[in-house]
Amino acid sequence: MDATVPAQHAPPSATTGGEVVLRTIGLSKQYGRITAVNNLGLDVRQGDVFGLLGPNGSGKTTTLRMTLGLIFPTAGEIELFGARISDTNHRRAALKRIGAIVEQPAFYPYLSGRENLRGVATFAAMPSDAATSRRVDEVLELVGLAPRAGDAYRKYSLGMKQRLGIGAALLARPDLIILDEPTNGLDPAGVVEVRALIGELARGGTTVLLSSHLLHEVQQVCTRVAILKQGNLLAQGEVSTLLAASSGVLLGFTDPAELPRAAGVLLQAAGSEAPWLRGAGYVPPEPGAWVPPGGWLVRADTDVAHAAAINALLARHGIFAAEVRRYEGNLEQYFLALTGAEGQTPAPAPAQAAMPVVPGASGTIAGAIAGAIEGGRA
Amino acid sequence: MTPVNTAPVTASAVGTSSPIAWLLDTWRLTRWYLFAAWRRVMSKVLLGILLGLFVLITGFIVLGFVVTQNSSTVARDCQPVPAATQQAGDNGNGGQVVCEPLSAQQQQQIRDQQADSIRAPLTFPGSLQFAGGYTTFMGVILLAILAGAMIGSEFGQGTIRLALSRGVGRAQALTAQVAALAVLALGIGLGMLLLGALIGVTIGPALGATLSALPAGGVGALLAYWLAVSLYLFAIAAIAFFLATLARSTAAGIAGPLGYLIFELIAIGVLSIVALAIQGDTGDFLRHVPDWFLGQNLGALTTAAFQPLAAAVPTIRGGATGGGNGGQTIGTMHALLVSLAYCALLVGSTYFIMRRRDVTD
Ligand SMILES: Nc1ncnc2c1ncn2[C@@H]1O[C@H](COP(=O)(O)OP(=O)(O)OP(=O)(O)O)[C@@H](O)[C@H]1O
Ligand SMILES: [Mg+2]
Repeated sequence: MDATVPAQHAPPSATTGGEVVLRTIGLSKQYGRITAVNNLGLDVRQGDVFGLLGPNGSGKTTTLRMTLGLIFPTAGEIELFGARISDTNHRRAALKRIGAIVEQPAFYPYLSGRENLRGVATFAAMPSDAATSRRVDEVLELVGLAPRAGDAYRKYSLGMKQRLGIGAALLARPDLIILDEPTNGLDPAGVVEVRALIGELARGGTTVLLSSHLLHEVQQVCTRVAILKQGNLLAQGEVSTLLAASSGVLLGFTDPAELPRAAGVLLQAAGSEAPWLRGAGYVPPEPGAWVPPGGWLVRADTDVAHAAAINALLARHGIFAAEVRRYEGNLEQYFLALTGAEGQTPAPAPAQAAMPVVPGASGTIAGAIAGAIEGGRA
Repeated sequence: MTPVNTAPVTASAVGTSSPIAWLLDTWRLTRWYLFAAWRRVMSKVLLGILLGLFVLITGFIVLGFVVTQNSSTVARDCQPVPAATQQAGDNGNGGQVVCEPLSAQQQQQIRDQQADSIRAPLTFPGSLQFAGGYTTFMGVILLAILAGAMIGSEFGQGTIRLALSRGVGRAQALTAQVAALAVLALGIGLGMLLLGALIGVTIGPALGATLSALPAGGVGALLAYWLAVSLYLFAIAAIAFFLATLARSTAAGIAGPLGYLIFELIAIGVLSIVALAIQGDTGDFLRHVPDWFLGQNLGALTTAAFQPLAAAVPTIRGGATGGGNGGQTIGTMHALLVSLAYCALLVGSTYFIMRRRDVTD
């Protein structure tokens, strides 16, 4: 795992404080005995590129379906553009301002891509005039389907179907775009194009709500994320805040014996002279990852600006790191730590929670391995 | 995907919630459903079957006409002794049957009678009843198949959520579907009756029939017959609409109405047998149960709607072309109300089912 991927997301200041486009209040959905979504409170604001993350079956699609009025909540409310969609008239008006794909795109298989988009224009109550026809062609161009616009939808490849779905979502120039796993089935170039497109839309003022499993992608395009597990909201916040909370400094030593000493010093300092230190722990060797001369790493969870201070702190205790490296947190590690790769359910964090602080270990895997090392020594 | 500048949106369809705007939107949606239905291969195949079979049957009638007119066997036909000399019900047993050569005049008379009854369905306005009767059988079956596929596939393809997630209301989507089915029913009814009229003024006269003038108020009667045939088509399609939505499936939408028609046939047969066996009040009650069946009422309605026109059909008095319901017991008003009540029930239940249903297909 590359721990040094730079975050490319937009500055958080550009996105905070906007008008709330979508808000869910105590939203729950029960399917028989399965609680697909449990007491969910999301806030998607104007201009956000909002990522809805979570393992399979965590309730992402269910949440999006409720937002689109396809299924009805068991409890709770959804507000779109400032009013509740339990009011049917408002729901219909609000949905006209939203473009969406949920799960696999659905179209008339025997109609061409262009005809299908005309149908979407009809559904969206766009006027049936030349401007709409032009818009249809423009969108087909935009998603790269222009050369195949006359072919029946059923003859499209998976990625082409997905592209048409994205085109349909964009068609009516919506204020909010909802994309459920938009890069599903796309080739690498398509993934990059969708990423660029989302960035473009966001700059144009469109709010984007997307669900994805591709955390690397999400980290690059999203400004805010919410993480779900088994229907519960584990965390919600600015990507930059979440990432800052999982960034830190990596220390390499030539002598493995220095590892426990360094970790001990850091943990002790965290409680006293270095309050900015959130924790410290061993980093397990991972195949392909950067390895210092000594072969082992200690990580100090803190703002990367404290790298020098950490070095000085260790030096005061007679410990000299052979290498000091900053690492930016990445969403994947954060996500895995939060959702629990082993499958246990961490207690749901409050909605605005930042990085869960685990002193002594920065992730469940790292912690587990560090524990094993200690055990082996004893 | 070349990034294109998407300006912030101001214009949107929000605020068009007046009833007029709703109706216009719904009508556009109706046209869309019709377009989508027309673009199916299935609808063209079904239309081909509808027209092809009609032409085939017409051809057979013409053939039958030609064969009977050119045959000499008429002369050898045995004529039962006039009914006046016989007791009713005696016929099959000891009834006298006289086979004697007929005079040339008699032969010609019989030939003319046969000719009249054979070409009646090809002669206006008898041809309308021929086309109408064909439509309320074949047309109904084929429209039921199309309707089941049309409505069911909205769920199968998932295109229903494409519409609903764009702010098309559930009632609006259903209204547009019902309207599309109504347009199809009226269109098929009109098309087939026009075809019947065309045949009636071309083939009938070509076979030597003389066209009779429409009776007074004929135009109104034509209109009423068209509406009755269309209602027949629509009502059975409404079964498809209801079942396809209920089961979210094309199969249910197609098999449902066809199954219902077959059920009616069987039920009527069984009920009449049981009614005969039981007699008394219960028997009477059972005999009248089919009076509340949808198909029976639709049939009675179309038959009744044709009555004013029947006067102009020479051969109909003898019941030669009339497929009339033997012992017709269903009054016209009863037939109309029961048929409309079925339609209202089917459409209304569908609205009720869809109102709060989760659409996850
Ligand atoms: N129509 C349904 N009937 C019953 N249970 C359902 C239905 N749809 C979803 N569920 C259940 O709800 C839970 C959440 O499903 P959902 O589709 O929202 O997950 P998801 O987060 O979108 O997962 P994925 O990443 O796999 O798309 C799952 O346990 C699923 O089995
Ligand atoms: Mg999903």
